[in-house]
Amino acid sequence: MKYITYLFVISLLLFNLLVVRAEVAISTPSGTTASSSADTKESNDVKNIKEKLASITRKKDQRAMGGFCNIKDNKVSLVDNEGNEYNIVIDESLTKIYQIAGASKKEIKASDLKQDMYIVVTGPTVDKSINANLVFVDDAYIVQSGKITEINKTDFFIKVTAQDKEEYTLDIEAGTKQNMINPKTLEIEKIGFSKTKEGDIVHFAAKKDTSDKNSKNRFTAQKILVIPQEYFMK
Amino acid sequence: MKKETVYAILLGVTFGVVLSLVMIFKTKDSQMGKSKPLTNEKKVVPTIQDTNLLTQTFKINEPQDRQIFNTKSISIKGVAEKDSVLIIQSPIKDIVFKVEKEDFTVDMPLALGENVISLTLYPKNSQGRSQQKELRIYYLDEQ
Repeated sequence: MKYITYLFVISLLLFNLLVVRAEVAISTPSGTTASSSADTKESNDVKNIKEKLASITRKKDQRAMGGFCNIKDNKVSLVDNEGNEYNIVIDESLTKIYQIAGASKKEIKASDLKQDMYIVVTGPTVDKSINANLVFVDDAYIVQSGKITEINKTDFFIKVTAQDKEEYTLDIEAGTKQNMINPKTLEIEKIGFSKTKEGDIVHFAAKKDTSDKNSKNRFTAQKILVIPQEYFMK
Repeated sequence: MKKETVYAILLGVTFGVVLSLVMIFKTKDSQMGKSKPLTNEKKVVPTIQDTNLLTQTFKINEPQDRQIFNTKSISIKGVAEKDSVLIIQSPIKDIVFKVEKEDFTVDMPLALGENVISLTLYPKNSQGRSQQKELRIYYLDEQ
């Protein structure tokens, strides 16, 4: 009987020791007593984290940044719409620079980049520095909407208050495409300047640059799309 | 091996398993009780609000802002209130349509370079507040 009791106690102790040891090894991945299965789990975790980081980096790299070019002491930087400045690292042998003209593009040199040009840059971003893979020189646009607060039929401009309370002055020129939404059918119809009324909502697109005119929120509208007040009176 | 020895070992192992499981669960429970939240954020208590004052759903699922494409057009996918009117405007295209289902998909052409796309949602209730979102999408053809 004594022999059986000893065996019982020893097997109980041995099994407990094994199970508790395995549990400790799993719950403390950095422990020196980690078993081989815990090591495998740890290496898998590290692998997963590395893969996630790589995928995040890849996704990050697939984003582009647009802003006005700032050139100082032969160093190129970009100022985005929020006013953040990014240093653009251009490698003459790796970075490709293009000028966009309509639907086509032409390769240009880094020396062709000028102050206040609007550029779109792709490449890995580290803090406030972009290692440029591609640089595109493009036109900058503003696309906004707001309520028409004033119409000047002599000088052909309208004043608009946007949702963010920003005020814009839009010059309506001969080349400006003017359209209106039919409040019943929602069809887009061509209109003349006389059809636009104060209180209407207008969606507009305009080219943007760093000129004094633009800095005062005055733009030449490329196109306007008016939603008449009647639409909101249904 | 004697019969009694085998019984003793099996009994010991079974008892050991039960004891280990109890120990493991007890340890986990006590650790859960001790764990502290990572942030100082207070628990959000849901409150009932007047549904008329709530902002209507308007979400763009695809594409992501500042995403790069090498195709001449993209599909904009999102969720908006049913029967609201969505106006999508870019320098090259204006699209106006009524949201028939809550999910919508719209094809939008892209110009080479940067495409500023403004999406404005006018709710079904015309007195409601409109919502605006802006996407900057890049069509950058490297070839």
